[in-house]
Amino acid sequence: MTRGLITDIHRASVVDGPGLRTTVFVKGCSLRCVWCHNPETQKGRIEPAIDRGVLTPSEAEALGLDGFPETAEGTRAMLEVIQARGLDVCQGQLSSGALTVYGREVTVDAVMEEVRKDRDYYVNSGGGVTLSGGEPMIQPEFTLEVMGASKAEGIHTVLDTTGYMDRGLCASTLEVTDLYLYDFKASEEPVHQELTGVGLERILGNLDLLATSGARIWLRCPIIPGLNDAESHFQAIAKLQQKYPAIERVHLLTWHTMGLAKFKRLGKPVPAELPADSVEEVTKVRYREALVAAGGESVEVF
Amino acid sequence: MATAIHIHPLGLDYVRRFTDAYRAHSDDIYKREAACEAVQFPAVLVPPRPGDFLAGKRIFAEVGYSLQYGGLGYYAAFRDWDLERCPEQLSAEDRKEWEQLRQFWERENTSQKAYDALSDEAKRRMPETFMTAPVLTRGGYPIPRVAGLQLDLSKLVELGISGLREAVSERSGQVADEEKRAFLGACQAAVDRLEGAARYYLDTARSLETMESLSLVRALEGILDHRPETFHEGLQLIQLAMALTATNNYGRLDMTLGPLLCRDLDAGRLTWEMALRLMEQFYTLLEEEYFHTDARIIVGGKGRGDATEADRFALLAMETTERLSLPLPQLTLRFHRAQNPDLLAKAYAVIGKGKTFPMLYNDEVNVPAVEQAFGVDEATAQQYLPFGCGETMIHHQSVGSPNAIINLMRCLESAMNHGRCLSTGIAIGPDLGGLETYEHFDALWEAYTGTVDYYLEPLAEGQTRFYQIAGSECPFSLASLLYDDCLKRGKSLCAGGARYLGGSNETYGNVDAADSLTAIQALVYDSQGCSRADLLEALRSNWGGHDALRARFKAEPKFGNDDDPADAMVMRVHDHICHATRDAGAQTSLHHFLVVVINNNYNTIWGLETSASPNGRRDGDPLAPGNAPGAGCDQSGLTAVLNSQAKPDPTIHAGAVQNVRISASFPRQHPELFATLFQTYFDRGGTQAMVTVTSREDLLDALEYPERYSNLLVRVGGFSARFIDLDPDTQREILSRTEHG
Repeated sequence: MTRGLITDIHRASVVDGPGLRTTVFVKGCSLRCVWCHNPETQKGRIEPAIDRGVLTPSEAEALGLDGFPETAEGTRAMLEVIQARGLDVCQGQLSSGALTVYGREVTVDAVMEEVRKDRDYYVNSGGGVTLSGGEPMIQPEFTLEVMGASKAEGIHTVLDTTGYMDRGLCASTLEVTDLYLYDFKASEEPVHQELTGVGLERILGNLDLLATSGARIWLRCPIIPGLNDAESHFQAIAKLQQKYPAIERVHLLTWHTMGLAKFKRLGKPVPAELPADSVEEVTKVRYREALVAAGGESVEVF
Repeated sequence: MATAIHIHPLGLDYVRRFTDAYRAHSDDIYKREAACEAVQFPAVLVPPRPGDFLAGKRIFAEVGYSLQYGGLGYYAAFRDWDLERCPEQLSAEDRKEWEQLRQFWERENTSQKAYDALSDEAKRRMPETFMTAPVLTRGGYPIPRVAGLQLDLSKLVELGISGLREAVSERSGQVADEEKRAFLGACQAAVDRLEGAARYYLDTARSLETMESLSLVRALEGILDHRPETFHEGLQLIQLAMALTATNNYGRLDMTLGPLLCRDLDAGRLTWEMALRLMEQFYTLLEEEYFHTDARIIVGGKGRGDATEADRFALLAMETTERLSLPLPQLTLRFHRAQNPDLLAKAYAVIGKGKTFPMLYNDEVNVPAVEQAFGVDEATAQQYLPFGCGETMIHHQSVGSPNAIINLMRCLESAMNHGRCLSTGIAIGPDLGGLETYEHFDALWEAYTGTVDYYLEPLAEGQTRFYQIAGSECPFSLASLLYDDCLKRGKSLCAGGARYLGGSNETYGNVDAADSLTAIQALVYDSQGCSRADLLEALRSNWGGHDALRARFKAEPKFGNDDDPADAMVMRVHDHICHATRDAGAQTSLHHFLVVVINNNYNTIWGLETSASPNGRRDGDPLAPGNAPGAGCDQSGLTAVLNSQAKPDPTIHAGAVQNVRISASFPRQHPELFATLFQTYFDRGGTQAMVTVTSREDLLDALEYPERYSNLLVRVGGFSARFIDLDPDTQREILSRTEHG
């Protein structure tokens, strides 16, 4: 029985494709985007996170967690102690709720059982199931099986992907995917490399493959002030859309600070280049106008 | 639903006169009512203010006569009746008299008489009432009262004052029975008082000489002269009757007022804007005046005949709710497939703006459920209404006062610990054993149900006796006149007049008890991963030093995640309490005695007295509200909660409230999905929804800057409130609920 490592199954999601959806967050990703808002899905293994503001002094003392500096390194060292002691043991002893354990193993059957429960919500709203992450295709067998089983049962499927995978693997998604939420994060190779840790070429190649094979695509572009909100990037997005009619919509996902708390709890240093505040409404309007001016169509800004 | 209310003392002279009137007719309850009300009215009526174009407010004095508020019938508000708080400077002699009057009413108030009428065994099991108990230690309490009537206001408006009088006269001419004639005489006196109240307001309004008061004068002159012919007159007459009867749930106002509204609008006598202003004042009056768990206005639903006119009122009522941000009235929309879709669409839009109203009731499920639960035909079931916090009744046909209240988690606690509180050791129920003595889960279950039964028997007896005493002491003539079949039978409401005299049993801690049983079954009996002694020790010490064990009990499946085994236990607990309550009622003369899974803030208040529970809850933490998951237990998304909530059988109780808290951004950004989500829940059998749309950030911010959030409404359970007005415990309980979307 195929198993997968996920962080969560979120039901009644309204932000992961059309309608009301059940979203499965697959754990593990090859990219290390500077702004990642789901940093807990990056590592392909079960991991702890700790909210040091919630941890009580007596808990810290009982588990030998006191004395660590209030820095990312300090938190990482604490998390190592927690790992060494065993996540189960620590979870039992940290009743304050300071400890979160990210990652659980599930079978495809268990996921499908959960997915089926909201079938009528999908039917009424035009929703379905979304595989997200992380990069869902980092666990290809699991993801393809969930998508395939869903499709076989008439449930609409969305693959929310970075596009960073082997070409063959990418081709294998076509059969089970009704709609792609396909990331496009930077338009120049070195910038992409710098912001995400991987090259752009493979992602563009896979986009070309999907777009020329009859796929439906919504392009999803995280826009981070100062990092990838230059005029030229919007022009590149518009150009892609003109090139591939398969790209039905473009979503600009603007920077918000909600993911930062997770950085802290995972002991990850918050990159200095990230803006301190979420993007304001006026800036969202400006981004939209920039893309439309460059020739973008069906643009939505979030 | 509770009935505590602010008392406005009127002082010795008033109390003396009221008491004299009571004493003078100790042998004739009908004359006594008339005499006492002649003292009470218009003394307790509040005169209109210069800007009012609607009148009908009352206060509640330290002693009085009332259907619901203040107490049952002849009430005496002792907590507000001491020498220090007496508004007058009393001489020594006066003080002595004041004290004697107080002693008289301590014996003579109807509520006390009702409790005294219980059997010795019932009193042994329930030594205090819910009102008199200083602390809620036990598993169940009786509540002597007659609450939640919804009068036949359509009859009132159709007949008007003189029409009512004629109807009583006509009936009087047909009966010879002395008792019946006496009752009908009391009804005549009640109509006289209604007219008297209208005249009192007419006089006071005339003295104001403002634009608004002129309009009020016209409305009052109208209802004194003829049956209501305008929307304004209809509303005015209704408000007078509500103030006089001290009832505060308005029933199907769309049916009552829709025709008058449309006639005025179509004739050009009234503009939509003016109608809205009238409604705004009406809402404001309700909000200022009465207790927060009532003031239901019902619109929509099956059984309205041609609903075109009623629908127009329904839209007006929802627009008023949208324009004001008030916790009252509790606007309620019933809906069904064939209904004008504009109503439901408007409702979702208003709810999405954070108004907490209208509450939604799905007739496709509720009508058949009521048919079955109440044992009535479909046409009768179509006249079902929720009142107060969500108890179901049949509009002006049934009385379903919740006179029993039970805490299922406390019953389980009692069953686990030889009838004693786990944290304090005091007696809270029968000793049927302790967790350490139950070798199998079934034995624990049996002790739990035995504890519940121990309370249900006297609670059912109380429900019956309280009505008997109310019937033999208080005719409640005006209310009786507006209730089927009092006039026809010549009998008052609780003395055989009301068509269906039933009752309800408010249950609390249902979900905590079920989640606790789920965890015990898994960890103590099935896997034997935790010994019975260890669990008892952990609970007695409020999980202190047992964090790891608590984490394991918390991690067991919980209701609210669409998890079949966890939900099945909730259904098992639900089935048992519903059937057992109905069976207890079947031993009495009641038409029905049914569970209501409602909530007010008693989940918080009673939670304070309930020890740590095996679902991981700590001693003193709130119990889960109504049919909602425990705090933070619903972690699988909104559809999972709704699916869980749609599982318990709706055909065996008289109402269950479903509270959900949704982030403000969801309906704002996805209004269509918001509506589709609830529509799907209703399609799959959801009975009703009470939706709070707000954001956690706003709630937290409101704690810090309350002055900025006077419009922030939240649904506590069976009622809405300004978040900033809630006590800190209840605020924390609201914050602890999962926010979806």
